[in-house]
Amino acid sequence: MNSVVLFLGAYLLVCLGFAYRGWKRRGEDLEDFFITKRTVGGFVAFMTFSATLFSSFTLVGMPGFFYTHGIGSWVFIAFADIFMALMIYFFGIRFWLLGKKFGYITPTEFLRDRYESDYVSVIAVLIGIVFLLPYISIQLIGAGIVLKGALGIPAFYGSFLLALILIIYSELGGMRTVAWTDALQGTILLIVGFLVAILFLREFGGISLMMSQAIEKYPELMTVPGPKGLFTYQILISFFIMIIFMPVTQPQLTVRYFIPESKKTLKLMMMATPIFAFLAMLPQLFIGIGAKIAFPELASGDQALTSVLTLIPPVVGAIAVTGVIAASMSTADSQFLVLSSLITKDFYVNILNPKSSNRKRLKIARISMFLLLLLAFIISLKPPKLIVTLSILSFAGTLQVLPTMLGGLFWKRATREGAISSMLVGVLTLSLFQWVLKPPFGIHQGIWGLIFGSLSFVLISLITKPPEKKAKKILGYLKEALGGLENGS
Amino acid sequence: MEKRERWLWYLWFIFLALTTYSPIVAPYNKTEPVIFGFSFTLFWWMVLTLILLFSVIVFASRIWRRKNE
Repeated sequence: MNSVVLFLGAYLLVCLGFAYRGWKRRGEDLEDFFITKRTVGGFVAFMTFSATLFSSFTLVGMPGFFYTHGIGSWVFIAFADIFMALMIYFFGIRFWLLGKKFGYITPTEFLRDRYESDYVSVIAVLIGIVFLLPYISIQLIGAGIVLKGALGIPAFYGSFLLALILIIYSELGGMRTVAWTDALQGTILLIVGFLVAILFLREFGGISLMMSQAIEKYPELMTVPGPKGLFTYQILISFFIMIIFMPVTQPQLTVRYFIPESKKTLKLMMMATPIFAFLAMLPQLFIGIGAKIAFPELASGDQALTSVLTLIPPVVGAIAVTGVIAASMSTADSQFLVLSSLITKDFYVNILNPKSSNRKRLKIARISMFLLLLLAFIISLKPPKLIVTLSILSFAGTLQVLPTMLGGLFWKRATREGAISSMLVGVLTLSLFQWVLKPPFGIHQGIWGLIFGSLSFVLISLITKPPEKKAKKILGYLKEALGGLENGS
Repeated sequence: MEKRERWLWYLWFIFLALTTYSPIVAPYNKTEPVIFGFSFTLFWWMVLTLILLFSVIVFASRIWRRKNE
């Protein structure tokens, strides 16, 4: 327990140190607070992207998935996450160029501009809030569970401690501090994964011996759809689609395309993110499968990591606890920072009070951040049985913005009516198959939402009049800028 | 990067995804032979994942030319 307090305390102090440094270097407007005036360099840009992507779900949820559902979890997440890095090429460079040219701070501002409609951005913002708040709560829940196991304190206090530190450093330094702490948190996540896996594997005499035991004792873990039949072809492909488009459907990731200082930084993000994904996921495979052999009767897969920690030296266990907290924080801070930016820029500045002063805008940003975190904390007080469930619904929910985003970037016939209908139809279809009917053919409800949303987007766009001015300007600029980029001119 | 080369890359990535997820080519239920302790299905996925990883890195290194960075 003492070593947990020591490592966790040291880590939290470093976070507060970053907060102080961020506060000292703070600017006076929203562009500085939310996207650091687009000045983030290579290492920090890549780490903040990766650490935002990999939350406490990686360290707590993934071993649980391997424990419960077997090796299908590898293609379910790891392969898809690596594939996702390709999307930086398709979307990242476009958002980066548009952000620099038109001064966007949030991805939904682009939608407002492109479709010449407040309604489009408002609906996209609401989808973001509704589906990301539970995700923030998941991070708080994850921290609570882990601190309960490590320190014996009620989960409530663990969640509260996490929320308190998060709000302090995010309020003080905005994106600047969040990006620095993400770099630290991402590094800790990788170190912890490998430390725990290596020490745990020693109990079995190595990877080969452990996996051989697993094949012998639990052959169903080594095949798909796995012991509980989760990973059917339809589900694996459904999640592949949901995950690879996350950087354009989840605003906390999309906004990271606005912050790099140069194209070279984006290139580094694209090259380093898949390496990070592979290194983050590999240890979870061994921890999850090994836990099944060592602790076959756990009530829930989410207990796999905490059970494994009882077998390794307490000092490493203490570092692992710090790692889980760090992983929770790296995702939660990015999420409520971006949600605050959506409320401040898309609602307050663009619609309610366009003539407000910078001082007033920053005040609104900080207040909304506090209220969002408070709300997430209240939601986290009634935790679900398997924390992954909420996270999965979050992917599916934000996926419904995809046709609007793709249409905005690639299709000049896309109209505001098409965009609005696609988001509404998508969310309604998702809700129908989530709560009322069983999704047909075993395909995930999120994908059904995407299918019907896309159909509605295309049909309505074809029978309505496309916005002329801004759409032409935006798409024309992209064509010109990208043409020059590809041809080296 | 030439347009043709770009399209070849896109096809390559689609091929990798199909090879991983298609029920026809993915050996979903083979525990044998065991290679380096990995069941055959997991080994197959690991190989494909590593190929994808290196492909993304090479693709990224070629797409945007130095002159524009």
